[in-house]
Amino acid sequence: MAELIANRLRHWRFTRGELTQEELAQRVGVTRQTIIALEKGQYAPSLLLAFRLAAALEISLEELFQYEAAPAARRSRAKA
Amino acid sequence: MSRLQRQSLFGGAVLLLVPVAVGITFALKHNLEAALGVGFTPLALLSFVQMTGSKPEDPRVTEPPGTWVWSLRMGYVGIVIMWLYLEWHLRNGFPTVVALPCLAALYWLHRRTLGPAPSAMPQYDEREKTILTRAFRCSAQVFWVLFVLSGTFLAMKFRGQSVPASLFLGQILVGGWVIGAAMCLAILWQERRWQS
Repeated sequence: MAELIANRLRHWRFTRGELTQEELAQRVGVTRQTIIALEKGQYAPSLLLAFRLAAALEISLEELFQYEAAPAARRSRAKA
Repeated sequence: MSRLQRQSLFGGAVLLLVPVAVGITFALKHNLEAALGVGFTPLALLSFVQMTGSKPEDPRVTEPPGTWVWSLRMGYVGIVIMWLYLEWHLRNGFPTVVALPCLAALYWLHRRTLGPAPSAMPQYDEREKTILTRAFRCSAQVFWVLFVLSGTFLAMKFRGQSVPASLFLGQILVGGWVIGAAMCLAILWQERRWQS
């Protein structure tokens, strides 16, 4: 299984005033397709975009993105 | 449909016109230089379409491109058409062979110094830039493979003889077409994969 950056973008978009994908896209300066790809977990954003999204939704980066390590990576880290 | 998909489909449609125009012109005139010239002139028109603007913060910027930019573009297309006319009627293929790549290079150099014209569309975002970078890399790989193969084929076919200049022109023009077509396909494929 590959490493994964999961996000709760959809959850927070609805929690923060039911923003549409288009509105959020305009706030952070990307296209709506990029927000769709992010919500589906098909695209890992740059650090800058991740911070922009968190700022636009007024939450911390950790609340928005979660890092899920691959099993092999987790095992090697546990050994260390 | 994303704007990259729209732009790729438009570009692909223009590119599809090229072999049709080359085929028709060659069937009518039996002249390879003229057929390539006429067929590839629409490609120059693709540069008239401004894909993105330079101001992401204001997507409503709708200023038209400067007179300079338009003069240069019109000049390029006009001169190309003039050379083609001369070539066609005076039966002299040399000006076309020399003029097309030279004018293309001149146009490209000036285009860079003039900078992008303002457009109603905002800049590409990071996901779009990723798609474009991958598509360009893919098209460059396809181009170089075909370039080497076609060069090897020509070298074997014309061993010990002089290669007609129009074949070099053809290699350049077909190479440009291959890059465009591969980019369009790569963009469409990536967008489809990302949106499915």
